[in-house]
Amino acid sequence: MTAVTISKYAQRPLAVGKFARNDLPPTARFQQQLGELAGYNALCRAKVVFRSVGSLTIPASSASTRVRARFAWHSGPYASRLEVRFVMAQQNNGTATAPFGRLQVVNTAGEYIGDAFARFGASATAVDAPDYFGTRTSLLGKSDQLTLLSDNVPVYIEPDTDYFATISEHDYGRIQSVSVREISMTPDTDNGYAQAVTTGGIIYDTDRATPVTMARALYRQGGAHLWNWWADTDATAPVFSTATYTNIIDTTSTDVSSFRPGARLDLRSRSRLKDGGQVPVVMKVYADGTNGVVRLLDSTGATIISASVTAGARWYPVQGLLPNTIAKYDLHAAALTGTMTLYAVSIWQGDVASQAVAASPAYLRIRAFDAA
Amino acid sequence: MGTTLTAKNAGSIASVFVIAIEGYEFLLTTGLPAAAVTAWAVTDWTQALGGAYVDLDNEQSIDPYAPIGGGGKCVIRVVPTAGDRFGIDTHRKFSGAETQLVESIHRGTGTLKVLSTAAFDASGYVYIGTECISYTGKTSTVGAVPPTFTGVSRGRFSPFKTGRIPETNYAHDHRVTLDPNSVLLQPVVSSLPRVWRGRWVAIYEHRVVDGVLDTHAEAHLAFAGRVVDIEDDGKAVSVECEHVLDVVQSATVGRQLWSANVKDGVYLKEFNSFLMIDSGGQAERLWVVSGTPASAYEMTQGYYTNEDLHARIEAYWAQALIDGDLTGSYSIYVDESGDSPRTVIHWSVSTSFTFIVPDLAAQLMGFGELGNNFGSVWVNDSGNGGARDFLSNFPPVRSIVDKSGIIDNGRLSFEVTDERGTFISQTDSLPAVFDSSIDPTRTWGLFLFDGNVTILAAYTVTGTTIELKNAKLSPVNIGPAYNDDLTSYSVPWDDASPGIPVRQILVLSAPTASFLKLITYSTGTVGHNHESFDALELGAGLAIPGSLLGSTFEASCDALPGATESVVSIIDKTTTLKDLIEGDLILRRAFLNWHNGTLRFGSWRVPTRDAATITLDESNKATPADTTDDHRTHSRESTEWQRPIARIYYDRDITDLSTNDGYRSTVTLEDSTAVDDMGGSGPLVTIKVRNAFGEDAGVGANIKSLIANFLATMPMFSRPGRILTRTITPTLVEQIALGDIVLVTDNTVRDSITGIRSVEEVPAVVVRKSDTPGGGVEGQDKASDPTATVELFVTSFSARPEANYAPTADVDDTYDAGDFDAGYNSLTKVLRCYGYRYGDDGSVIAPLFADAEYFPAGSRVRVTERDPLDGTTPQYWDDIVASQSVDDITLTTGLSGWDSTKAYRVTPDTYGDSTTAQRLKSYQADTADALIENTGAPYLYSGTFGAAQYAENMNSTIGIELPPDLHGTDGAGRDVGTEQALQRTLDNFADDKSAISLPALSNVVMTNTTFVNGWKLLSYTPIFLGTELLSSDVWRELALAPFYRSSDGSTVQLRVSLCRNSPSGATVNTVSLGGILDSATWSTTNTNWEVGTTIEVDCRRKAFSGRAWIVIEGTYKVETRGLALCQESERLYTNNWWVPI
Repeated sequence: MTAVTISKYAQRPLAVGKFARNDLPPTARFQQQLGELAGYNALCRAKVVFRSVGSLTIPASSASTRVRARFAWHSGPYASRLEVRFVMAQQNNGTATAPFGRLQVVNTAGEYIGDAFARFGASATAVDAPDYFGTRTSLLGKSDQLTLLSDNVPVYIEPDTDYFATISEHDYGRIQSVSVREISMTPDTDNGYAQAVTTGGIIYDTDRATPVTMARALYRQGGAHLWNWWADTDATAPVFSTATYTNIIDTTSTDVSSFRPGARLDLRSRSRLKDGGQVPVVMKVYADGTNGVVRLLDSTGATIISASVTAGARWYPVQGLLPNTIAKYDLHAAALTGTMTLYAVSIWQGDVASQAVAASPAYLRIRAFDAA
Repeated sequence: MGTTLTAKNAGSIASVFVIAIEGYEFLLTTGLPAAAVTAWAVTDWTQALGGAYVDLDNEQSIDPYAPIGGGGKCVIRVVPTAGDRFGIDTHRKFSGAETQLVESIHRGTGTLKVLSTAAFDASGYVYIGTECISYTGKTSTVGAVPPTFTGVSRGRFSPFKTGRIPETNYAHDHRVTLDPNSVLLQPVVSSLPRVWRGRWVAIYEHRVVDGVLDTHAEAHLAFAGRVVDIEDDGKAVSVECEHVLDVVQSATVGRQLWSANVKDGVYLKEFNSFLMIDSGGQAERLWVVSGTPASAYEMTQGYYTNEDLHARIEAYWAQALIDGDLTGSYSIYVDESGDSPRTVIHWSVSTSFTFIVPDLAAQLMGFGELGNNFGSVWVNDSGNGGARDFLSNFPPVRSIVDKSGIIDNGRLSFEVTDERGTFISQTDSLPAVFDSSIDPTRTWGLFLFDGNVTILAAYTVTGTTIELKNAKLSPVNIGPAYNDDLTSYSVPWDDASPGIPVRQILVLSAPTASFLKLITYSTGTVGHNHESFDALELGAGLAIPGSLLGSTFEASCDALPGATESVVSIIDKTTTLKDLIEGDLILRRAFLNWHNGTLRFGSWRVPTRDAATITLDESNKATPADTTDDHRTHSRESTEWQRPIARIYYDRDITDLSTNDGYRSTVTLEDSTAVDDMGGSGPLVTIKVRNAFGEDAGVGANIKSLIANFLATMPMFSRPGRILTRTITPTLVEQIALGDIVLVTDNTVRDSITGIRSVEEVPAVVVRKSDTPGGGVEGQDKASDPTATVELFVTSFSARPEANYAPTADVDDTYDAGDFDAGYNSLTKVLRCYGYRYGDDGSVIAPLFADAEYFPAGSRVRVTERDPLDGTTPQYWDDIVASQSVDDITLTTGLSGWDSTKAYRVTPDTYGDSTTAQRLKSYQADTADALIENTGAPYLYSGTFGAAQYAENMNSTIGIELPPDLHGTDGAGRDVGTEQALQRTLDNFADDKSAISLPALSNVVMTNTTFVNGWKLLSYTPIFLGTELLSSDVWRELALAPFYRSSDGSTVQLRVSLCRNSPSGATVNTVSLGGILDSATWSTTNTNWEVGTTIEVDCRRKAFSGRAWIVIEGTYKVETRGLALCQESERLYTNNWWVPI
């Protein structure tokens, strides 16, 4: 175990032409810079996986547990913990004394990983304005009782792993907005960071192998999350009952145009040599139906990625390629037969085909920060 | 014909010296005056004096712990010629006509205003200090306009020019000062030169061919410096000069920093009020108002001394009496007759009074206790109606600055007096982290308040009133916490001091290279000495004439280790340049030296054969300076610089310099092996780095990155080295610079491995160089010979192998001509490679070889797939080069299974399979046995700091690739292609691949249908922007585009703000945004939905935690679903640096 010093300062791109040319010697300085850059990427460029809209129109309190959002994501290769920031509103028609919001994480096997809580809002009369909201920051943990936040046991998430999250309100809790990010592992050679070198030091194979491994893991599994869509509540989730593809945000449009709601995704300079100008992405859809389809359409209306919903309420994964351009994309859905209720869609950059290559558990041992 | 320097480097020449002294219209020469004048024909000089002798002893050395050294000595002897003109000029006290400047002139001022021009010629020269100024006319006093010299040309006869293009004469500032801290003797303007010490001196060596001198432009600048002393020994005048390196070493910055004292009194703010009640009634309130008082019951917001307050209060009481609201008669004054002064309210007629006073005013007058801010203090007394005195409980004080800041919404405002120096606005130049809420319409600066606290404040001049407004604690961690333990700042009544001192602290923020250029060029007259880098105020820069710096100096700054990394220098008092930047240079392994007529920075490099520029052997020795025929090289094991332990001080607190000169943090670095080898202890070097702070400070050079660089080269100086001293032929003097790497071949030096005399091509660093140019000697017929000696540093590990990168050539996958398919001809087994991909980008530097030429016939090569799908199993072949020509490599066996859809790279085969010649390049060892493939001795990392010239974007467009594992294995070459691929991929990840994307579109339309007259809050969310630290030099933006429309066709606006804190407000209308980092506004009348134009907002002032807020507000009738685009940018950076007003 050897700690590695990583500066958090963003630096200019490395002056490769200054240090690495055919007629120059390998320098400790440049090797050090490569290692530091890899470490900076691992430490400071962790994923941000969710940001809610933050509307001031917040559903009224509910006594029963209510799901407010779902999303899926793939953890980065150096992810260690999850930090959740809630903005909570006061209850507006409840009588409980301890309402709270919650983010719960499960893995692909449906196994419970941990929770993050935000307790707030036991006022009898709520005003939905900033002065009456409360901000809570919480790390993912485990608790035997949902109401005992202080008993939480810290939970480390696994790097390079698919996860699903559910954001919910309990006991009249009201969530105004949520943001979720990953926190990286401590810079340490045991965690896969590159060791420092010095002038006069031996040129070892590991000095190169480590940054090569880091670069590969980062590029394939550390690419940024791209877009989440979710239903405001399960009760208001859109239900598709015809074979006509309809925009999932306004639930009325059937065409694609600049007038229709969709996200602009910037994928410029995010393509590898081998991918020939395309960026591998993963789309996961949470829906309930037996013959539904959710499509990602480009600005011409062409289907880029399509996920079939066939087996009831669950997450449906699909891989695809997007061009390395900046463009607007729309999400459409249809029920080819029967009905389909759509709850959430998440899209991220992910080189799934090569995932197994870099995700060596023996290599990536987890050590985390003690605190956020 | 060439130049003098070219000829000197080529062999022995005949030469003379020509000397130019600033502001002196005669050249001095060791040769014939007429020839000198001819050679300097295109300069100011048209006259010359002979009889000069130059005793020049150039001596420079570098020391890893003293990066700014001296440059040697020079004495010019001038025997009487031309009627002893030079002796008379330098020694007479009578200076012809004299007057004084009445108005300061900076270096660009074209008009001289003086007391009188009467005694001066109608046109000619005048002298001020060391500067000569020509004029073409003069005026007498006209009305209020003083006498003036007109048609002025500044900096005449300046031996060094500015760095402008084209160069211009170098002039000086001449200040008329009323500053009580200055000597109040104003600059003398005279018709003859009066001042000699401090004049710039240039000594040029001119080759003489057939009696003709090389021209001034062709001559070699042998010495640059300034006059420090003039003597006369009865035979000749001696002019002693200091070298420009010594000038730099002792130069100071921060001489004119602004300072003042807080004005006596207290600042009363709008809405404060006084109220007087007595037994006869109650007066109207006396209100403090922000504008002009409208009645006797209003007073203006601002500063009030006790006297001011007393007068205003008495007027208030008098008016109330007139108005019949009070019955008593009152006066107020300070009684100093007792042991302790007290404020007295003398009153009569009424039987009681209650006077309600704002707390700060009460504290000033002694009615309230200092520091107790309760809003107001009640002062009351009662009696029988006779005259009585009511005394304050506490002594009055002269001045109060309320630290709680209640007077200005949490910020301080106070007037100052006794202003000195010049305030420098840093509104545009404060490091990004200083404050997110600086009002850019004001002029901001950082100040040291009462010697205790650093505050950020706006410098405001209103008429004759100077205020520091909106002052708040410096957000930079350079002073103590501003906590409640500190008492209010007050000045006791009987304190004779000028008041609470406050002075400006200059903060220079720039990339290191720009910072050094800025400091050296700046004269105080923006643009005088350089179009871009002469930008600091007077006293903040060194004002080295630009022609001594120039492109060579600037390139050397750019080539320094860490040149682009940010540095923030805090200049809190007059400081020598050495003290200011020495620590930074040491940590960067940099030094300043003089070579070929310019100043330049160099950097320590590990001596390697490949880096050597010249070989020193028996053929280029010469007679040493102090002996006649000893040509043997002296060798000694030296521990002079051996410091296996380095203690680095940083994080300087300028408010507590009494403790360890203010340094709060240290880090100790140790080469433990070296310490153990020295018996368990070793000498320590202490390095104080003024401009480095802890990472949490958020400003300046980051100690972590500096230390990493220092550590990387520490072994060079943590172990003993050898110093070789030998002579060199004078032709090499100007070819070798300090810090250069040379190869030493010497029969008299013992080999460090065998101990036997004779070494061959041992790489060494030139660490000292001394030479005397020789020439005529006063009183002797025979000229002295030139001599030159160097000292060379051989590191403890210089004898071990160190080599260049294993070469790389990329196959040209676009080449399909003839039988070629993606760069490979399977019929002829020829690979077509890209020409100069790894030599250079083809535009900046012309490499010696094309990439393919690094693989001559017989080379063993490995052709490997670039960016394979699976990094563990790339496609590759090993082969032998059959022949090679230009960009083509012909293989012996050929590449079966060539896939034209892939790209390939040529590198050397593994170490064991490579040829002996190929093994002169670098290969990798494994960590198990530190050997290459269990047999080969390992290669070592170099300390060479890279090429001086390089293309920053080299190969940036050739694709992102994930190198296969086989390039990182035991025995693989450390190839340059993989090295560059790693850099591209890692930088691409930092810039693009990891860039945060957080669009969020609402299922429900968010709209403003209720609030007509402003912004309605529609949504806000916390957002994470990464935990990296952004700076003014490297930052990111957030590209935003909303999905929105107008619901009724009226003009609507949508505003998205990136904030540090969450908004506040009891309603959603017109909320207060918490620390706006940046914001963007869209406007439309379109009733169709649209994605608004992308606007980038600046993220650099986000919190270090990465936490921020996105706030969306809209005007009446706007509708939105939120942000269709919320995309973090790549890293943005610039070489720009700030320019103060």
